[in-house]
Parts: sequence; C-alpha cells; structure tokens
Amino acid sequence: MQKWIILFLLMAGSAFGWEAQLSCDPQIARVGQQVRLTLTIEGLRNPPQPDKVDVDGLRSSLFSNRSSSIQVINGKYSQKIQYSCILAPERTGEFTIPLTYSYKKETKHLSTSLKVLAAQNGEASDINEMFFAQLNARSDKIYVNQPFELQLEIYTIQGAQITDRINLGNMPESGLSELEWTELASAQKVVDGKIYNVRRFRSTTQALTAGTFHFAPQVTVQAVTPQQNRRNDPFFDSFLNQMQTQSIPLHVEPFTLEVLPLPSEGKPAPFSDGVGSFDFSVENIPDEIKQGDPLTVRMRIRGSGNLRSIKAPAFSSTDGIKTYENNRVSADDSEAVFEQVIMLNEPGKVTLPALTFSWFNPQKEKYETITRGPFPLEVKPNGAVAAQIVTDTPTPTRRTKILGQDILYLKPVPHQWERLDQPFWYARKIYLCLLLLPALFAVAFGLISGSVRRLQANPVEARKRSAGKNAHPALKAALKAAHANEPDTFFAESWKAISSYFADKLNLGGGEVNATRLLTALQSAGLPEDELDLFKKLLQTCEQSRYSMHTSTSTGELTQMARNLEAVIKHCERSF
Amino acid sequence: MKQIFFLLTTCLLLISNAHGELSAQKAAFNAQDEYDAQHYANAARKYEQILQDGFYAPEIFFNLGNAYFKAGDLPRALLNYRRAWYFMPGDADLTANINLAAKTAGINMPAEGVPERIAFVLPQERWVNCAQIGYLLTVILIVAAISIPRLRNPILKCSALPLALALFSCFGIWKWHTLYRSNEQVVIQTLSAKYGPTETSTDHFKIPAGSIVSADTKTGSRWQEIELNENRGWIKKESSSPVVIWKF
Repeated sequence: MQKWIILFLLMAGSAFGWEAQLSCDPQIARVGQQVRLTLTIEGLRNPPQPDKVDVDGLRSSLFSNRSSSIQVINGKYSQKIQYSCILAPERTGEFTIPLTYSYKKETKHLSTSLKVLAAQNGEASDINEMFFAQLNARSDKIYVNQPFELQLEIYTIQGAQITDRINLGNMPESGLSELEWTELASAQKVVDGKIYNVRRFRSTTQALTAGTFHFAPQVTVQAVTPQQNRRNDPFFDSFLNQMQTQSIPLHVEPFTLEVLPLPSEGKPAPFSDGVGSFDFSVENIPDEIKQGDPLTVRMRIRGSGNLRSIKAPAFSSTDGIKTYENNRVSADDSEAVFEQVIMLNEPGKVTLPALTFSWFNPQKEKYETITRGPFPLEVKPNGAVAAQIVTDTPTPTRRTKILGQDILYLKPVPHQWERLDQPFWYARKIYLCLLLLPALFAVAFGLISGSVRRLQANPVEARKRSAGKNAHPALKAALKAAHANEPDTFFAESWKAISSYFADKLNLGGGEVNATRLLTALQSAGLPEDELDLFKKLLQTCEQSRYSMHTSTSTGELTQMARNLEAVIKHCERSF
Repeated sequence: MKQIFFLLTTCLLLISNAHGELSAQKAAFNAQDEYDAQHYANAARKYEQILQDGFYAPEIFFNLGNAYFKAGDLPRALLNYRRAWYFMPGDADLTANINLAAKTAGINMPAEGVPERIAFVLPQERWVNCAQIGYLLTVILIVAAISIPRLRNPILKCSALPLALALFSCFGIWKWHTLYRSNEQVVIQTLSAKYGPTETSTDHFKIPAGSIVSADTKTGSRWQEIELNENRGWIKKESSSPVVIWKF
C-alpha cells in the first residue's frame, strides 16, 4: 500500500514540472532530403499534440507520430512522450525552427537549427574524400606530466558506413603514458560542401619526458561495401548474406607536439611530481588516541592534473612515532586519496609535523604549495586490547556497530610442543616404512589367497605340496627310533615316511608305492648315483625288516640311514 | 649391558624433553603476563626465547605475532602470523589478525590460485591424516574383496571412494610441500630489489616491509633471488627472515 501511495505521489508530482526539447535529425541536410523533427516532452502523462511548424523554405507535415516511454530509475518515475513530423527543405540556408508548446497555463518556446545545403551534383569519387581522419592535441603548451587530450575524428561521407573495427597505429612508442580511447557522441560536419558523419574518440595522456613528439598515425577502418547476393533464395539470403567489409587506410595529417620540461627555478623540495591545479587536505587525525593503536591518516588531493601518478607527502618516523609507507587508496580524474598508518607508542601530548604539498601549475606557469598542520593530539595509555564490538540493543534485527579495530587476543598456552630440530612425525623414515606395511599385507594376502584357491581347485598339486609336511612326523619318529637303536620301529617309520611321501608326491595309491617305481622316479629326478645307492640300500633294508628278516644294525648305521632318507626327501622337494 | 644403556639413554632423553616442554610452557605463561601488562617488547622477547630453546607451537607463533603487532613491529608480526598460518590456515582469529596487520602495513598477502585455496583449507598434517584414512580404508576394502569373491565387484567399487580421498589428500600434501619448497621469506625493512646481486645494480622494484616473498637462497652468498608478484629481483639475505624455521 505504502509503495502505491509513493508511486501515485511521484506520478502526481511529476505533473508539476515538465520539460520539452526540440531536435532534428540530421542537423545538416540537402535540398529535397527528408529531415525528422522531434518534440520530446518529459514529465507530462498525456500532453496535447503540438501545432504544425511553419518555416519559410521548409515543407512540414503534422506531428502525427506519437511514441512514449516510461522509466523508473532509482525510484524516480519519468515518462517521455515524443511527437515527430517530417520536414522537406526546399532551399539552401541555415534555418531556425521555432515551436511554441503550451500545457495548461505554462508555455515553452523551443527552437532547433537545421543547415540545408544544395542538392549533391555528384558522388565523391576519391576514397580520401569519402573517408579521412584527423588527430590533434587539445592543448598548445604542454609540460612534462601534464595530462592533455588527444582527439581522433574519423570522417565518413554521408551514406557510407564503417564498422566498429578501427585500428590506430604508428603512435609514438615511448614517452607517452598508455592511451585509452573513449568514444564520444558522433556528429555531422560539412567539409568542402560535403556532409560527413564524424566519429570522435578522445584519450587523456601525459608526456613522461620533455621533447618533440611526432604524430603520424595510421588509421584503418572497415568500410561496409554493398552486399552481393550469391543466390536468389530469399530464405537463405537472410541467413547467409554476411556484411561485406573492406579495409581502408585513412589519410591523417601528421603533426608535432612540443613538450616542455618543468622549470628548475623555484622548484620546491619535496616536490609531488604534480602538474595541474590541486587542493590538498589531511583527514582522520583525532584529538586523542590510545597508545599502540594504528592511526590511519588520509591525505586527499583534489583538482585536475596528473592525479593518477602524483605523490602525496607523508609523515616520517621519529621517536615515539612509527610510520609506514603511504599507500594510494584510490585515484581518478578528480581525486587521489592516500592513506598512511602511524603508530604512536609513547603516551602524552604529541604533535604530528605539518605536511607540505607542492605542484606545478601550467596555467600560472609557476610552482604552488599548500601546507596542512601541524596536528597536535594526545596519546592515552592503552587499556583494553580486544576489539570493541558493541551492539545497540539486544534485538536481533539491529546491526552490530564496529567501533574500533584491533587484533584478536592471545591464544591459550599450548600443552603440546614440537621441537624445531625434529621433522614432522609424518616425514620420518620409520613412518614411511610403516606406511608400506598395509600395502605389503594386502599383496601377501592376495598371493596367499590365490595360492589357496588354486590348490583347492587342483587336489593333485595340493597333495604334491603337502607331501613333505605329511611325511615329516614319520621321518621324525624314524630318527628318534634310530637314536634309541630300535631297528624295527626305525624301519617301520622309515617305510611309512617313504610311502607317504612318494604316494603324495607321485599321486599314487597306498599300495602302489614300490621300490622299482621309486628308484625310476628318483633316477628321472636326477638324484646322484651315490645317494641313489644309499636309498636303494635303505629300501632293501626296510623291505627286509618289513618281511621279518631281522637285521643287526648299529645305532650309527640307523642314524646314517635316517639322514640319507632325509637328504633324499630334501632333494625330491627341490626336484619334483 | 647394551640394553640397559639404551634404556637409560632413552629415559634421560624423555626426561630432558619433558623438562624442556615444562620450561617452554612456563615461559609462555610469563610472556602472556608481560603482554597483559602491555610490555609487548618483553612479551615478544620471551616468546622468542622459547623458539631459541628449540620448542614451538602454532599458538606461540600467533601470540608472538600479536606481541610484535602491539610493539609496532608489523613485519615481524606478519612473519609470525604467517608461521602460525602454516599450522592453522583456517583459524578465524589468525585470519583476522593477518588481514589487519597486512592492511596496516599496506601489503598484499601472496596471491593464491583456486587449487592452492582448496589445498590450504587444511594444514598439511590434516591432509596426511585424511590420506592415511583413505589409504587404510582402501587396503581394508581390497583385502575384503579378495576374501569375499562373490562381493568382489561392489566392494571394489566402494574402494574407489577412499582411494579418491587418499589421492585428493596427496594433492593437498603436495601443494603444501611446494609451498615449503618455495622458501617464503618476510622482508623486514622496506627496500628495493635490484636487477643483480651487487650493490651497484639498478633498483628494480620496491618491496614494502612485511611483504612475503619466495626466495632462492642457494644462489649467491650474501644475496638471494626473490620473487614478488611475478617480479624477480635480488635482495641481501639479512634483509629478510625465513618463514619456515622448523624441520619438515
């Protein structure tokens, strides 16, 4: 509701002040060429249609075309209504077109001008007549570091068109600050009886050194040439007919610019390198400050000149006053702001020295100086150190006001300490070695699992692999019996070991193990002859013992036979 | 006999280390008292003594930075804040103090790209922890996949997550490692970097006090080549202090 009331008041209020403007496009025309005359009315909701203009030499239609636009900018409502009519010049001359427009009791007398040239006899044939450019400096006397404007104007004869691709080259390579061009509003000009559309560009620059600068720029534009239809299909033509352009280098008259050095006579020290007209102020110095608190002093330079490269004066460190570099906070064409941090470490009354700012005024052709200060202030002993954050009221909607800025207080004393000479725990070699263990475990686990799975799938291989393990108890018992000189037990256990081992190793049934098969297998396994003989003897002795043919054997012989058997099994473990 | 000697030596070392830590803690409390009494220079001296005794903790760097700030020595404040930052880059108090000190000194902290900003969310030790967790989980899941063949595929797919965590953490560790290798230094006094390692060389660019530069200390004896904002120049070694004073 409140918004609607405000909007209504704005709209109602808009009727109290209204503006009207009369303009014609183009402002320069030829006899017979149509010119649009437009009346723009701002601030009225439903203005009446204006009367027809009556000027001798100009034929006029009624203001029959009406258009309107509404704008709300920053909450401000505005409505523009435009009435337009067509003028047809009948003779050459400079015309002033008057229009009297009344709304209720208020009347406005408006006028605009129109220049009418004779009808064109022939088109410009020379390309240099159709397109050319002008570059000039907008100052006569220029000093080092003094900003000056360069203006580039590109003339295009009425009817011709150029694109936005404009190349400017062959400008002085050194001695000038970087050129940044800004396009101004385009205009129409008459040169040698011809009407040109003029595109204007401006750049502010400054000479960094004194001397003569030669400007012989090369300007190239892209002129739009008439379209050439390659096919007679209106559908495809609308998509495929691209704008055709032709690159045209423009004729530009070269010129020289003399840049003067700053006079050495009367040059103040220190000098800010400023050239122009300036005002200098120092801000943000309080009457009192807490000891140790940083104080940010702001130095503001206003005016016109080389504000982007100017240097501001700064306080320097003295006893009890510690200063830091002054920093450029912002700089534009009208103002440069610098800030310098100062810390006052001694309590008591302190006077910051005066600051002197000097520059060269090129208009007056002399140096000028402004002095600000000195600045007395009182440094109070510091009390609290924490940042002061105060809230207005406990209501959550209120914003917190930051009253001061300070560092946050100390961290609590740590309980865990590190030694400077010891590397981080994770950079120690032992940690890096330990880090390998899980990976090694995973690899080993994978290998073992794979092996187990393979053996589960292949019982013959599994039996073969477990042969030694299965024969081991009998072999151990045989060795024990040999030490105890119990030949019967020894031979029984030895045979048990042999039959168990070779049955598993050769994948044989219990009854299939016999001396012939074993000796053949051992021979093929490459058992040395002497060992083979010993094994043969053992087998014979075992068989004798098994078939109750008692043999008298000493403990030493039994032990030797047990070792021989052990050696044969070990050999087979390697060979099979 | 050898075992007894080894045990005795270990015990003595442990006792001496514990004693040193206690002394450091005591000194830290004393320094805090000095700070509270606004004797900032004394506080800074006591914190420095702890470092000279060979002990450190991120909190000590922070507090030392505070003491120097209050004493008006912004470059050394920034130096110690930066040291603390290596161990607690996400600490809000530290960030606030660094920003205030940098603004007061009129310097910009080193510019960081997006990868660095991501990596420096956590200190290097946290990235190591994350990498460990990711690594161990990956190993456990791989072992599980081997043990349970019928669930092999889903378990292996799940192991991609901890593996990604481990790899991403390795990226964080590597970024920190690169920073350590860059050998950051804080310039103690405003000076000009020169084009060459001689007094007679032309000044190249100005370095405000408190600026953090990357230095190549291997080059030259008294001079070091430094880089600041993509500008390279030479300064004397004594005009800057290294940020990393601990073994890594």
